[in-house]
Amino acid sequence: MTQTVDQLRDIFNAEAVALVGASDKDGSFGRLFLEGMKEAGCKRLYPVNPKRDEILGLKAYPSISAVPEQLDVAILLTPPESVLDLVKECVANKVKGAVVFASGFGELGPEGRELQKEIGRVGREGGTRVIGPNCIGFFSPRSGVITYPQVIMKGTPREPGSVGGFSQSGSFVDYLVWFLATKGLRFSTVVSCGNEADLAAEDYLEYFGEDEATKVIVSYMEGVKDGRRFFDVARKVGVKKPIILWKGGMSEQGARAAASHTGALAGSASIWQAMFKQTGIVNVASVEDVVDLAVAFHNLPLPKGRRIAVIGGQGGTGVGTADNCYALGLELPKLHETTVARLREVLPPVGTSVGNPTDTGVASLLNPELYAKAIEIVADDPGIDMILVISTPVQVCLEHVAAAAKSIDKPLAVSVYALPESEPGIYEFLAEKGVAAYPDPKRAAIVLARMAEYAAFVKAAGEA
Amino acid sequence: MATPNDIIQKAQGEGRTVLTETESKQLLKGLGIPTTEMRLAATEAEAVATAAEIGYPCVLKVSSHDITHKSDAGGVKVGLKDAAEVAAAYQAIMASCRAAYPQAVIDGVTVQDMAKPGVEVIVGMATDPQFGPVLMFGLGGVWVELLKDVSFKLVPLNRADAKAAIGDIRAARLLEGFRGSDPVDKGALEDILLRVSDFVAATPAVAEMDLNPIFAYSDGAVAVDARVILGA
Repeated sequence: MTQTVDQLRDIFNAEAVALVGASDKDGSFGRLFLEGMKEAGCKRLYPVNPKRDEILGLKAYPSISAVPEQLDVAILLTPPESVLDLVKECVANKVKGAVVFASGFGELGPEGRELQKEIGRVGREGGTRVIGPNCIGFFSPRSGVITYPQVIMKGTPREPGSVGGFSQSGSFVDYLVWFLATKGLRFSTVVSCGNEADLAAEDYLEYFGEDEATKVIVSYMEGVKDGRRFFDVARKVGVKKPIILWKGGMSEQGARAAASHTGALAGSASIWQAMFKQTGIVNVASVEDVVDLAVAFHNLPLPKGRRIAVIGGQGGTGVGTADNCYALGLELPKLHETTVARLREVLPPVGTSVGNPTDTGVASLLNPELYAKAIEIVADDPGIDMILVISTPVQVCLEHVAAAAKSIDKPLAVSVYALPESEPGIYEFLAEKGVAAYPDPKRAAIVLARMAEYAAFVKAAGEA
Repeated sequence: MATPNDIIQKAQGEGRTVLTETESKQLLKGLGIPTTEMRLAATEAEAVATAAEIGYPCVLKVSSHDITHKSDAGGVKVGLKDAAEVAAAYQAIMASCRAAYPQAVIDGVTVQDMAKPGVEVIVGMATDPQFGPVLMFGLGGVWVELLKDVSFKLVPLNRADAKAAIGDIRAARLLEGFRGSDPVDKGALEDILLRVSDFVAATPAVAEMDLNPIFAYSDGAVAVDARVILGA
């Protein structure tokens, strides 16, 4: 384990936290974050503001140096010109981490870039690791540190979970936490990378790889500070836990000038794609993909292979979904004869069809436990690695499906033949039950195909 | 024999970033990658004598640091079957290259044995500004430019990466044996990828490489042409 991982662990488990620029002014981040962290249970919170003795009932301190204990983290909400001196003050006071919100550095040009480098160097060499600048900090439910406006204002649940995240877009992680929380997911730590003056995506990835609480990693990236290190780290982490990455800026620029064929063809997007394949990174390209896959990897076991069974109550969607599964490279094998016989026993002879796909027919509307029975029978089939269920929107039926999903040891994704807006509450219900549910069976097929691809990567890496 | 590093240092000493075909192939030989036999001949008589030693049919290519696109300058003659054809080819190459590149310093020609035809593939290397050295595998020869059917891997490659690089191209089936032809020796291609990967991982001076074409056979593979570019 590297020193950086140890340092990040101290930062993300912070107990003594200073908020520099704390305020009680309505509509200020200084107030929002102070309130948010008080409520989230941050253990020892020190507002720093030279103009105040007390803020929102907490004793305020004129400076970082004036705080009476050694701080784990100082969150700096102050203007850019104050940051270098504050980081130096952090170093002098052995603060483990500084989170810099201010923008106006590398993104503004050469002068800002120099100042940003200096901030990173001073912090790193002095033992105060720097997150940012131009970031929105981190959310660590265990420590009660939270500086995500959307998450605070929406009252997003604060109990710890197993999703870790890092993002080079601050606003994106703020919303991602909120979105995923509404899908029933909870977080270990989520961090906004900002301009990466010191700590960078590769450091956070390494941390999440080592962090035992983190089982799934979600991320958004545009560039990489140290590509070689990122590749090395991703190779180690990718075989241990799924890394879902949305990489922005993948459009190829025109033809490149190069002295060789290889140089001319080695465009940036091709190289990122190659990196994803070698590391097992699950590359996605939309918010929907990030959320869909995070839900699947969080809720479901990995499939052992790519053989899928489709069970539905509508013949048409079942057949159409089977087409989608084929197009995604999944296999729809014939069910084992024992499976077929057992299905025939429970399904009425009229209006149903046993096979792959299996159609539970209109009968399943009247007899909702048919779904659960069919799921459990098909899950016993040794020739099937995963199941896609297209369910009726009847509440009692969904309850059976949710119970069946938990009782089997193979991944099962659900789609309901109702849109979220046509049947309010059904997807929320399934999310609460920990079911990977999607408003279109094609989306369910896509996540299962991506899981199978990742599982094959992990398997091949284990054999190599 | 000059080691790959000797070859690179000599070129750097002369202020060159592009290795000649002869240097590039010597370098590959040093890495244990099979290439076609090639020797420099400074005169027509030397060319005829060398051809007799290497055997027919053979290939003559102009040798000059100043001529990078040899075919375009009329500097390549293939399928030469006897001494008379070699002599005539030598004269023709000199005439057309002098006409196309009047300022070029021409060392003579290289005489090369003519590899038997195989499936043409390319192994290349480039330096990515973010991820450093990367390797490319694809259909070679003229197909590179036309179809761009290639795959990339970041260095260092392991055996699984090398296998995947070969399996990832769209025309991977062509290598499995197509319409009665034998499958190509993919192990030999993987070896080439791994040797190039080890070499460039240890040699930051190399910026780009093309081993193109490599003739892939059911038993082994031979780099027929090669180009090594050093970082400026």
